Amino acid sequence: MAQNDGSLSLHRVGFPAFNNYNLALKYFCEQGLQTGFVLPPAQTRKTIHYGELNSPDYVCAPFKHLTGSMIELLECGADILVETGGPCRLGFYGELQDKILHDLGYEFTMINLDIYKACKKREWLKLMRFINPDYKIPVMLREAANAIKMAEYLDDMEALYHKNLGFEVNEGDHDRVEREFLLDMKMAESGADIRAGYKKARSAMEALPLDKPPFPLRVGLVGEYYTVMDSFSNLDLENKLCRLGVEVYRNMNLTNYNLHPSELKLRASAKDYMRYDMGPTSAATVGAAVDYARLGFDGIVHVKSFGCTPEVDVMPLLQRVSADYKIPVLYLSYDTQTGDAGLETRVEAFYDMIARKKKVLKN
Amino acid sequence: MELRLDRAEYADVHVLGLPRALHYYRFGELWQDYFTLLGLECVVSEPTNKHILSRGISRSIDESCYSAKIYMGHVEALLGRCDAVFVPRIAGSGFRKKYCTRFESLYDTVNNTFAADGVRLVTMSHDWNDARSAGDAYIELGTRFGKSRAEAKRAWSAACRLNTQRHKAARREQLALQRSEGTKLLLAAHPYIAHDPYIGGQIAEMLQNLGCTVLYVDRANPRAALSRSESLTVTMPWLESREILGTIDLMKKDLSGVVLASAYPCSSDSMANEFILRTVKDIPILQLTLDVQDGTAGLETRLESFVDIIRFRKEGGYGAK
Repeated sequence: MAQNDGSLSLHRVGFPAFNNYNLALKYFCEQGLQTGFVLPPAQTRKTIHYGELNSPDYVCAPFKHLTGSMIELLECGADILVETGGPCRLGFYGELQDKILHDLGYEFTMINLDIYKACKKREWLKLMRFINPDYKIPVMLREAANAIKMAEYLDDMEALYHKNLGFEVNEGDHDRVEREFLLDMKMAESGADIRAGYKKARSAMEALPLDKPPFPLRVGLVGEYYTVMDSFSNLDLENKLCRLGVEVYRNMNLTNYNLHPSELKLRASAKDYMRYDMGPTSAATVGAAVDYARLGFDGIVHVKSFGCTPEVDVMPLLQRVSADYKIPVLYLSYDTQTGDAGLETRVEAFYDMIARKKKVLKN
Repeated sequence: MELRLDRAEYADVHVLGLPRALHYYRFGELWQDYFTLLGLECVVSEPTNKHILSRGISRSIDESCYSAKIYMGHVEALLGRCDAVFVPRIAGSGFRKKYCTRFESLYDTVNNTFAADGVRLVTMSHDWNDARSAGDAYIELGTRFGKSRAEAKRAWSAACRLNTQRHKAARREQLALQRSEGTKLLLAAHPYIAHDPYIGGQIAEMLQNLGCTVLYVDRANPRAALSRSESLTVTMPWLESREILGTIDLMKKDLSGVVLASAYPCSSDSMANEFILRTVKDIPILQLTLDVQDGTAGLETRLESFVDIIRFRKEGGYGAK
């Protein structure tokens, strides 16, 4: 818990669930702003149920997930909710959710960061002053840097986890290290804690015994921002692939997309296929797909929520990438389904196909 | 980010094809005037019909929206009938006055879908955050046809003048209808839904057969609607949704009801319609979601019962004040 020097805010801030990044947000709110924070409960069928019950019919799936998660946060006692906003439909999420949740009768304050998109720094400081009137700017800045570091570490560990999970000798090794790492991040109270936890987990995971062939199958994940990153939304797709014995790579994460944007580089890779900026994550999707193809990956999986306009529009481009580089692409579209047998079958069939292709090409 | 272009790369284009879909229903007449004044011949694809729709479906990703599928059909219908097809990227006209992201990606999607057909596309780009105005983008396009800047500028301002006159006339016409007696319904939809004879045209015809007067959003006062929408929503990113929301709110005194029609799965309408239903409370609204289907009996039944309810309410039936 935050050290209480009399400046602790009584608010309880909640961010809807998004991968493990809530841990970094928790750290920032508790240490940087010295305010209460509600971690969203692990997403379950109930989350989706709440979400789809209160969302418009054919809105994209992340809206339903986030709305469901927000309802759970409110039930857990959050009195301030934060919605980020973004370049596509995401930009309107906050305002509509605010309306829906208030219509349901909840009393809370919605902080819609999309409103602050065009605002000056002063407005942002005022916003934090609202959360905690006594917060200190130097502390906030220092802890913001630490929280960003934590997000990078989370991404880094996740990448290593998905690279090696499929080849572990003792089942459960990777899960254990990852779990301990997440617990350390949850309990961290300072930058030193974060760094120590990361170093420990990183060396522990690197030391795990592996049984990896010299040229394992490699699959790259591309797709829509939320669904491709949030393992609950994509029904644990990455682990399903890993467990078949595949190295899974995903360029799209907070580090590569928001913290150190690699958009220009990816757009250069995609320039044979796209002339203009096609939308929020389009360049990232096509660019990463081309990069994976050039690196000789065995397959690409394209992940999106149903009806995600920018991602539907890049599918003709991916079809051309697939034909030009002779690389198989599996297209997956998610809505609020919870059964994963169908997904499992498709992933297995995809694995069989790329495994056979590799074998034939080798001989 | 735009690649460097040849100065007059379209100089050899003499017959330009305009697909009659999406932005055509907003800018089509303006484009036609402009290109004709530049000395080009314009070929517009015929109004949407079953054949165009089925060709469009076979050219599109399943999850693409109804209107985008129709667009692909229109592009295909123009193959071989012109030197090049005009597929612009017009993404928006200002901060929180954007079009759906589909308009941002239109050029590249069409280009990749028709890559094997060797179709030539004429394009231009105007983004919501561009420093130059849309007019400048069009004038620059004119110079790429091998015209001088002055010529292009003259043609553009003449086309704009004609367009303003047309809009004013349409607005006057609708204002007269708005003040007339009878059951007046607003067909609140994107222009490419409301004015496409295959989609909105059918709805309007059914409503007229029921004895209603049909009014349109783009023939009302879009500028006033836009400023009204500012007081109702802060972050709504889409220009056309703002126009719909503002128009409903401005005109609701004169209206008997609103038919809110959208194509499945329209990304902006999926959220904007919910917002409209939760914001504008004191007028009957029928929400119609249209998708690729042949039968219209279901649609007719819904419109009929909506009109019945409105009339019954007027006579003092359900929920009348």
